[in-house]
Amino acid sequence: MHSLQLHASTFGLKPIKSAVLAVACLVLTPGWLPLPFLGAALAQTSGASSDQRCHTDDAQDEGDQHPDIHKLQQPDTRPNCESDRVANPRERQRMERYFGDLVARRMW
Amino acid sequence: MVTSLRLRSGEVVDCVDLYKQPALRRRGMEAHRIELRPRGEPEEKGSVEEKPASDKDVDPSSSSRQLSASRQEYGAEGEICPEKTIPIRRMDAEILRNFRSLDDFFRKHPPHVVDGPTNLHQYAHAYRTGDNWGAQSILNVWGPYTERASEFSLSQIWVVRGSGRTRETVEAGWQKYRDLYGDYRPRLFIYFTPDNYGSGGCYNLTCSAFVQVSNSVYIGGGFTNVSQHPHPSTAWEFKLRWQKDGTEGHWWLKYGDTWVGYYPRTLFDSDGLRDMAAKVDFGGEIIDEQPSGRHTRTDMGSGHFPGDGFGYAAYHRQIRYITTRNVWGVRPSLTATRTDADCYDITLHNSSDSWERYFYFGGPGFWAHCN
Repeated sequence: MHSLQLHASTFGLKPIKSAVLAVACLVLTPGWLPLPFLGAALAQTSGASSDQRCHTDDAQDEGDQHPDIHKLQQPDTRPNCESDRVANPRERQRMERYFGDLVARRMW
Repeated sequence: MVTSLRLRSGEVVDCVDLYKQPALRRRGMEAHRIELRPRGEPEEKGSVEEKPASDKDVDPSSSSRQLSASRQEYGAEGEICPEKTIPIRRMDAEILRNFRSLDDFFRKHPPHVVDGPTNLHQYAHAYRTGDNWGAQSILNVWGPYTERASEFSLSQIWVVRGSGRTRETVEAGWQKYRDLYGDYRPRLFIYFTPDNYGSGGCYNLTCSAFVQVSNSVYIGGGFTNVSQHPHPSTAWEFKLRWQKDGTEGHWWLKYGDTWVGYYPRTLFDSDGLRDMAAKVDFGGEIIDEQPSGRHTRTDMGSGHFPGDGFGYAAYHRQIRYITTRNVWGVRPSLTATRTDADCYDITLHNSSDSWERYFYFGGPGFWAHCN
């Protein structure tokens, strides 16, 4: 389910609604629509899900809200994570020291 | 040692001695004497009414049973920090990993470099310009969809003074922000900036600025209930207030009926918030990082546009401000504005009943007319 949600997000839809639409799409769409592209997106996002920083909102979406919106389907071209959020080791140490000192045991 | 608590969500809350809390270690706070509550409430008598409502303007909630006070997960099962201690979240390494530096952590939103310079703050809000000693409103809580972990969605009150690089604010509301909190739940938050959103301010209790006095409110804590569709439903809401305790007093935060604590006036400049504020502002804000070059799908408010109304759209109601004579300003004249009405919108209303001045706001982000 989680990977399906990631995949749905890749297609620009919210998870629950997207799952329903994806199934409907498989059943109803004519063969000329780009189904291979669905598989490619799945492969791409399942790789992304192994990175803990590549996450999507897994909160339940409202299935029936805004029937006319979110219908533009554009595939994402990149996973939902950003390498630039990683601090260098020195900065990481500085952050950990800061928060270690902020609530030190002597304050309890 | 006093104690620490592990909440059901898994986060650890340390109960810190009231008189040894981080804010008291800030430079200039050595001789500070903690105050336990402000000197008084704004007066109802002689309150200023700027926009009287007619008898035809009534509350949108048909019965008071549709409105319920939001509760925090902290304390929901009875256990809270002991008296004379305050709850502070223990920061975990997973959250720190989402930020490149301490400076980034302290900003309202760090300047990620994602597909170019795309850190777009988008707003739908209503403000009143004029000297004041604070503001109050009742907000309903939602769990809006956020497309990226590094994007947030919030509903809040801003109290502002100063301009350019020296603009100062105190802010509070609910916020969903995966990178900062480690999960996708809306949480009570505060924020302040003494330098127009540089790295001099911070969220919650993370930079030794806010002096907390209550042990029953967990700043940065999640809620047990959020509002849900469809209508009719219960609106889970809470009341928030920023109040300047006179010219010489501090900026106090009131959550529900509890005085939570204050930002000391010495944090601020005389051209800024030290003596008063110059604007009160209410509404929603999201971050649009434009994933893949199109508008984010991150919701503002509930994700519904304001036209959907009660039961669907997010709101602020009973919007008030406090005059510099310490009198309530009720049903204020407000100016509504939004970054792009096709993405997120706001509509102002006025009720002769308990909702007083109110508005609905929000929207779904990306769709055919918001791309």
